[in-house]
Amino acid sequence: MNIQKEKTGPCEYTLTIEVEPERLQKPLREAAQRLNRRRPIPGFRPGKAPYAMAERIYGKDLIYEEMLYQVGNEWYQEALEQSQLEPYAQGQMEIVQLEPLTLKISVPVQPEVTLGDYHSIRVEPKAVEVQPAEIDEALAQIQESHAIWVPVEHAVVTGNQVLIDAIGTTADGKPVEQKDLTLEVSEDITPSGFGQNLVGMRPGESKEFDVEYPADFRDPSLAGKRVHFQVTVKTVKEKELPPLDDALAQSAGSFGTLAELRTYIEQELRKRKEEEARDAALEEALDALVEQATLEYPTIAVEREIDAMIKSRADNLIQQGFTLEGYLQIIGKTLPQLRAELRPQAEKRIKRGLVLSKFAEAEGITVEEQEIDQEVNRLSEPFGQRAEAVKTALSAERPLRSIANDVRRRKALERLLAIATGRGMVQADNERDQKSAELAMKAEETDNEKSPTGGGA
Amino acid sequence: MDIYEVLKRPIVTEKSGKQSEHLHRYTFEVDVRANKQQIKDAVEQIFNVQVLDVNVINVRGKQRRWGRIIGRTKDWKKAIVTLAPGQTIQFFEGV
Repeated sequence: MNIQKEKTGPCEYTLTIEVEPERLQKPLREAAQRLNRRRPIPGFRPGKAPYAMAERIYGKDLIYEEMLYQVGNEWYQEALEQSQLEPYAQGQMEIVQLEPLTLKISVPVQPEVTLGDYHSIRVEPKAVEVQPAEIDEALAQIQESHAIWVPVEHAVVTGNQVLIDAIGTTADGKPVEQKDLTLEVSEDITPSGFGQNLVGMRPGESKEFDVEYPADFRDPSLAGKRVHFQVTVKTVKEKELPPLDDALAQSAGSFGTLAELRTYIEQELRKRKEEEARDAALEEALDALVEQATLEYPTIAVEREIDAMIKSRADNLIQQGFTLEGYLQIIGKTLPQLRAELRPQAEKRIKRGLVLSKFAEAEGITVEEQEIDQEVNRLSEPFGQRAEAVKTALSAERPLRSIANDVRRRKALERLLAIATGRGMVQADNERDQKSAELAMKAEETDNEKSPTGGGA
Repeated sequence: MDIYEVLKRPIVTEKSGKQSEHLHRYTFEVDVRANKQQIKDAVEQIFNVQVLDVNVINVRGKQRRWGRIIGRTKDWKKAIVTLAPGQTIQFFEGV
């Protein structure tokens, strides 16, 4: 087998292979026989026609193709071995010429990642502060959610809840009727003007007015039309906020006093903000890591990432009862357009994934069996009674692998953050640097008693 | 009768292939009017070989029907020609 290797793109090689005719004899005959079994030649029992006959009837192309189907993979492996390539995905094989048989295989190879000096990455998570106003706002929300509607006798003001009968007629005589309609009066009720007209009406009062529906209204029979309404207000209710006191705190959860609720809210807000700050810092560090690294990856990797993204989107849509086709129609895009749109995002994801896994490798991050067990337990716990079943399902090989990946990823991210914020590893490293300098200076005296602490710990 | 009218086509089947390979006997469809002598002459002249023996079989046509319409396939004559040992006829390249 004569193989020529040629680099044809980022992480992509083209192998030109010439196969000796002697190696073809047996597979060709076998291929012809297989073809003949499927498509018998008159005068011969299936699979019994001589090779010359088969070649005459089927043609060389077909027989060679059939042969590659069978032995192509074997040759492919051999070619890869001889040319020392690590394929990233299945290569594409094509026949260049038949005699002598020359094949062309394009193979995407494993992405190459070289990390920069990631120890120099520095990010500072933003300082977190919880303003009293934010706590008040949260409390106001709790108040709001515990509010009750109390019937009142005064005229309608914005923010009230009303129960009305609305009888309308469009300009061309079509009736629009809605009885016992409950509304919260605001200025953004469609059609505009409806809300304003309600303001000032008393319970039991009736009023007639005209409103104009917007042209893009969801009911096409009303869109853009002028409708004459006769509205009767039956009841008016006003929102009554409960007072901010210990009782509210008790009903909002298991808090004894309002002060406890306040501290709890403050803690939660702080926690959330800290997480946000941490995520932002991580994002920044990750970007820096990608920025520093030199990356080379095959184009097929991007295509696959896009495939995966589209698939997960499609799955989501199906769960919501849509189809991908329908969705595309709604957003008014074709599949290729969507793919093109997702491309930058996909590239970003790939870069991050590659860099991160290289980083994990460089830092010697491993995932222990028990960590996976923990994760499985953590994931199955919320399922309550079905936890065991979920656990079994997760313990299959595939999910286990993806869980292991997740854990690894998380650990890598934590390590990255630790390095970038100058905690943990970095100190150890600086220490090591200092020490190695010392070591160099007085090499004879110093020995292992102060061995460098760092490493992968 | 012209010799090129006598031989119509070679019969290529598993059976005829075996016979030509092991017994140097070749099978043809021939004109129904041809006799053994004419077949011998035709094969000898066209393929430039020596014919030892000619066996002929008159193959009766089969009845065929298409709905109500009943028909027959043609009667034809099959000739098995024995060549002198060591002689061959190439029906097509590479057999």
